[in-house]
Amino acid sequence: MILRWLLPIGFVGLLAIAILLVIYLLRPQYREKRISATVVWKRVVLHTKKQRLMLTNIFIFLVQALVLAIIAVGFAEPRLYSKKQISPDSEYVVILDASASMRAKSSASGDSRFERAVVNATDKIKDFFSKAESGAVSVIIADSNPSYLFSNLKKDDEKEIYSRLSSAECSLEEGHLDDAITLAGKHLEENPYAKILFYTDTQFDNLGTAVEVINISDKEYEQNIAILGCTVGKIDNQYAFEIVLGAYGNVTRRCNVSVDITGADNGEGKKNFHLEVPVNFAVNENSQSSEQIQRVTVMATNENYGGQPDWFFDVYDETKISIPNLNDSIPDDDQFYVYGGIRDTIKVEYWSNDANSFWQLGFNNLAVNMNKSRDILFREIYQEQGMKAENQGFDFYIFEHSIPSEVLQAGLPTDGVVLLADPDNTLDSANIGLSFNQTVKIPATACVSGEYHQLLQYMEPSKIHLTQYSKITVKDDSFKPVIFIDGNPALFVKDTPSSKMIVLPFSINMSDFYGEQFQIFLYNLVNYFMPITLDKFDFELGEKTQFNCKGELIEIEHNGNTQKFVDFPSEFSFDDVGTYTFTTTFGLVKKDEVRRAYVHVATSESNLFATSDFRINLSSKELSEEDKGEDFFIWFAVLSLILMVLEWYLQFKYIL
Amino acid sequence: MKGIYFTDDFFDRLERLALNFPTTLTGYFGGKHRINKYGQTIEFADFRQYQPGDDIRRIDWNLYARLGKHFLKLYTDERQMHIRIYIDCSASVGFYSDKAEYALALAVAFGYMAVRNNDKVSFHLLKDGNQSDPFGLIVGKNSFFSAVGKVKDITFSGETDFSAISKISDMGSNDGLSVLISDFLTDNSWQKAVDYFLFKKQQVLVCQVLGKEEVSPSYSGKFDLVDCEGTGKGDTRNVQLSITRAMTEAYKKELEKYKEEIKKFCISRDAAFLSVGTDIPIDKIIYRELMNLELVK
Repeated sequence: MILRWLLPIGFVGLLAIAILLVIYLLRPQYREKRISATVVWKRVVLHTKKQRLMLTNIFIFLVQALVLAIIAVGFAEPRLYSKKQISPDSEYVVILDASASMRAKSSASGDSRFERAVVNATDKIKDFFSKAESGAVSVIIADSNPSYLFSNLKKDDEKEIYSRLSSAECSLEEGHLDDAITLAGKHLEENPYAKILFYTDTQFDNLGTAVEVINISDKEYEQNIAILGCTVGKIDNQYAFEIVLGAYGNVTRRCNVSVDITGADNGEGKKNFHLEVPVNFAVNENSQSSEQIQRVTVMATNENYGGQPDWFFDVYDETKISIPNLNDSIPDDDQFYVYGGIRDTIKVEYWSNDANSFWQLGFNNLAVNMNKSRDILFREIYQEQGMKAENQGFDFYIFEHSIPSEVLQAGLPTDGVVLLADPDNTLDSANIGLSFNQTVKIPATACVSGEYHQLLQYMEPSKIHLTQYSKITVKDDSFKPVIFIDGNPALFVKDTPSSKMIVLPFSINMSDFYGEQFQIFLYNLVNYFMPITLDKFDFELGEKTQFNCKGELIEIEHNGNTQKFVDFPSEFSFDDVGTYTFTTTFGLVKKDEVRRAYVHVATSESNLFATSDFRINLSSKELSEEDKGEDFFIWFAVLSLILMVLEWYLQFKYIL
Repeated sequence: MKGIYFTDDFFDRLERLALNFPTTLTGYFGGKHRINKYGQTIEFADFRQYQPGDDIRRIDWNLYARLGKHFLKLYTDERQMHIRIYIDCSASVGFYSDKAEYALALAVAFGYMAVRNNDKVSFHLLKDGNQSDPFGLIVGKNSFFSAVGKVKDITFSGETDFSAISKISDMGSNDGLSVLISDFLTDNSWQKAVDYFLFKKQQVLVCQVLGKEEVSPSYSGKFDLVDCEGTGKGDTRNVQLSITRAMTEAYKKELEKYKEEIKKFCISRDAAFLSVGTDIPIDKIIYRELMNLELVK
């Protein structure tokens, strides 16, 4: 955030008032003294006053003369001119659009737009130096973060200029052309005669008379077919890939879209699929616009494309979508990877010696709400059917009232979050630092909040009323009480790298917890202990994303380079095309979870003949009002006002 | 008043001095000061032709024998002078005790030098527009010392006002010296007093006595300076000042300027002027300054 003074004079004025107040407060305090020589002192004062009066008169006259002069000069509109403004045609500012679309190659010449722009700009600069020997040239590379390739180099540096120009590279990112033009505009502020040459492939309506837009695109010999994106959904419990394709330029052709699904797993084995989908494009001079967008839905079960109708799979490793043998102007957007076949699944185990439906209903509701981001697998242990509670393989273990004997025997689970609801005296056998004391019956009483915990986000403990709770003796300090009832803990949280536990020492049946507060609690429970790593799996180059971690560490790998993150949530910027692998390490059981994301060229860059609605007017400065330089009228007005006040003060003193 | 000056030593030193009067003065009675007129002393002065009415005992018969004409032998005359000492007894003179003592010591010194030469002395105390003559006409050392004994009782208060001088009945004319002792730190017109003395054909000495603090103020800072002769805080003579070193320097310059003004006035009236500070030993004033002014010989 930057603080700017819109009216600094006002601030100075306020300061002046403060100074006057200080002077008033510090005004001289005179002491009384009896003397015999007041006559001489009076003569001194009279003499000094005479001298001062004479000086004051001269000063008043000077001030009055100065005020008149300043007013006269002020009305003549004085402005500040820099040296540059004196010589026209003295500066060239070249903007080279370095966005990914500038990589488009002409089928006729074989060179890219950026290469053509560099050659053209070099010729223009040579021509410029032949006419203006003392002129200066600046070149701005307009990529995602526009900056100078060089700035204000003169004829003496011609060699360096051409060398740097030839080594300039076009990026794969989206160019921030507006920032580049704004940067160039700063030259106009200093030099109204600066000429801006803007090499781009985007059509601009009007950037003002100071900017010469040179559209370097070659409509006749440039065409592009691009995979703009792919969304994955399920139709009849089978994966469906909706592929978005775009064609730009003079494209009238048929091509095949390949869909390669690797590692499709139906639970019994893995299989690879290769599907081919034919697509027709017809964009020519007769078309209404120079672009055509098509959506193609591909399913592995579609035998028309080479699929198997009777082979259903739950997950896959990766899906590569490509258009082979295309030979268009931009090959970078001819392939696309789709990861994320494995949806996050939260596994919950529920065991109770007096089962109720609250937990299952609660998690079912949560599953509906989280449908887009993850699945919830709720497994209830029915003892009467001979089922035994597991102590591994789940994300959440909910043991209600009692802790099952088989779990006590094998030890409490360590690979997930253990939730003990309304525990009885089996708690003592678990040896977790808590022991059951007694059950207390009370009239319906509202809970109160303890120390804030993220589990309580959006929750209002005062809305939870209990009629019964258990007194628990705490021996382990890592159990933090976060909700209280009658001064006793009603919710414990233990969150250490090796153990994550929740203890609810009350029965849901004997409370009004089930409902809104319960649902919020479950939502917080899942999001706090099992946050989703990435909420999507394809990104545009230069895009930033926030990611979270279920464990303690995430390693992001790309092209052999690895970055480690331990603080979450964290932010990551994708600055290269390709696959990024996010590996999460869980502290509980030392297992890893791998998620992959594909980074591709921005879809907007595939459009070879885009137009911009960007509005900025960099008109020739010699025609504008600003060209007259910095206006000093306000400063003259302020100065004359100050002098007038001074003159008034002197007159006032004189009268006194 | 301690009277530190009135010691035997002080008076002994004055024994060697006498006041020097111009011969234009006349006086009334015989004394020790020669005047421009012819008188009855034994010192020859001149001859003059006899005129009817002249005392024939003064005819120089030897000259008649030689010239055949009657000439009178003339002798010089010496008269007694009257020294009138006017002391400003306002609060400003008495504001610093050493200054008051100094002023009185000067007055007493003049008085002693007068009585030692058989001249008459009178002290006139000026205060609040009135004058008093507490010791009367002093002739002879006995009555002088008797008066000196009472000098300690003189008090200094009220405002300076020289107008009372014109009210004195026994002013005489052309008969001696008038000494006006004051600090002249007043707006009151002392010039009129000097003019009045001159009108009375007196020899005039204007003597300004200033205290050490008045010559060089030692105080600095922001002050409400209240005049010691004034009525207090609201007095018009008071002045509010921020006294810096520069202001003190300006004060000194202004004081010198004021002294110059007094001196200029005195010279224009053929009166003598003497400005003394209490830090200068009184002997130095008498032996050097008064001698320079040819008032003492």
